[in-house]
Amino acid sequence: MPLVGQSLSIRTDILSPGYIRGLASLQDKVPAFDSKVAKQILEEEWGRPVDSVLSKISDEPVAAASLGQVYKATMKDGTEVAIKVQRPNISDQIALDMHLLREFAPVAKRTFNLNTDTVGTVDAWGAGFVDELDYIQEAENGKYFMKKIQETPLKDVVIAPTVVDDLSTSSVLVTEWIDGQRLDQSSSEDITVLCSICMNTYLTMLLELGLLRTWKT
Amino acid sequence: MRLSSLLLGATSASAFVAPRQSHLEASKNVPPTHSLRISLDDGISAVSGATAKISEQLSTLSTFAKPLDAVATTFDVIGALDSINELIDTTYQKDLNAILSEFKALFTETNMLESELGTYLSNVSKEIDQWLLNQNPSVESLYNQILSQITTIKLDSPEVLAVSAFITYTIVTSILTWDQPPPPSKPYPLERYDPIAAQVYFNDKPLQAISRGLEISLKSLKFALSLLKDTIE
Repeated sequence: MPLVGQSLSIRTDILSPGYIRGLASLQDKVPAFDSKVAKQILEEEWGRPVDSVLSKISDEPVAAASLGQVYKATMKDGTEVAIKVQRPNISDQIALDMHLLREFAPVAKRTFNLNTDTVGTVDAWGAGFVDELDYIQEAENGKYFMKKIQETPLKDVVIAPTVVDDLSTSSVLVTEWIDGQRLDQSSSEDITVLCSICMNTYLTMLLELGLLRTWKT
Repeated sequence: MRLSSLLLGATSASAFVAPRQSHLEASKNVPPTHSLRISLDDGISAVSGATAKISEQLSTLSTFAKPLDAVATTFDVIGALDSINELIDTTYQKDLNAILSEFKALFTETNMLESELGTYLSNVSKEIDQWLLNQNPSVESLYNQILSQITTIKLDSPEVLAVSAFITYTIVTSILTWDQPPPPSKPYPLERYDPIAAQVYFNDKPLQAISRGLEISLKSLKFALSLLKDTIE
């Protein structure tokens, strides 16, 4: 359900600004799960203690979203990294919620007399949500994105964080740490320029690369 | 799963057998069929009477429409709400208490009817059991052995109904899917979105689906009520 709210949080064409502001918290301010559980997951996925890999890791996540939460850490060689840890049992929870939504979809269509394929919509949502659970695929997508963006005029202004392959699994994604700020929360003077670059990048991904993902400018 | 379902089904069957047996032992005078008919007629009359009184009380609630009509001409919503509050305090509280008393009497009547019917069914089943044992006397010792071995479940009526409904669902589902492969061990066996596999998986876990469904419904209702409040304000 938070995923549905997250998807709606960017639909300014459907919802008023008040609701957008409320739902925007689902993008990175969902209540986090216990950090002890997160560290257990790291040790299970890596097959070794966290202390043997990292010299430092934040006690609490720096951000938490519907699928996982992110910790700031430092590796033994001094490299700062971002570690995204997937919520435990999230796949089963998504499966149950999507199953219930799918059962309810035909009822909603009849009740509200909707002229749309509600079951197909739920299936499209479900496929997207489940695909997001595979962090290995996300890492591959990131590498593909960087490779392709280097072939465009945006190569010097748009980057994706470098993935640490040795530590990334289907439930854990480790990338280089990049300091930044969300555009909607920034008061920088070059916001307008950055927004133009963002729009340009979206169109490039959509029309040239055939791939949509997050990146940093 | 199927074996446990059958065992549970057998256990639930004993829940009906054991109370029936103990009820038989306690019941010395078997009410004849015609007195049951009289009890049923009395019960039906009582229920009809209570329903008529409740309908009469409910019809007085139509005076709610008066304050609401006033809103259309004066646009005085606050005044209308005050009028409704006053009506509730002076008139409807008394009527509502009367309605609650009638419901209470109704439940008492239906409980008495249920008890009479239970006694009648117990005696009929005893006669059937006796007839079957007379046909095959060698089965009696085995029959008594099974009864003494199976643990009986003594629950109040609502719990018996809920547990029996769930057990019946489990048994029927097991029978209907006997020749089908077992459900997957997880909703998405291939780690990809698969609505059909998820449906098979969660059809085998109805309580989990129902409880999550209720949780989502309640949260959605709270959200909808908040939206309504925002709209009114």
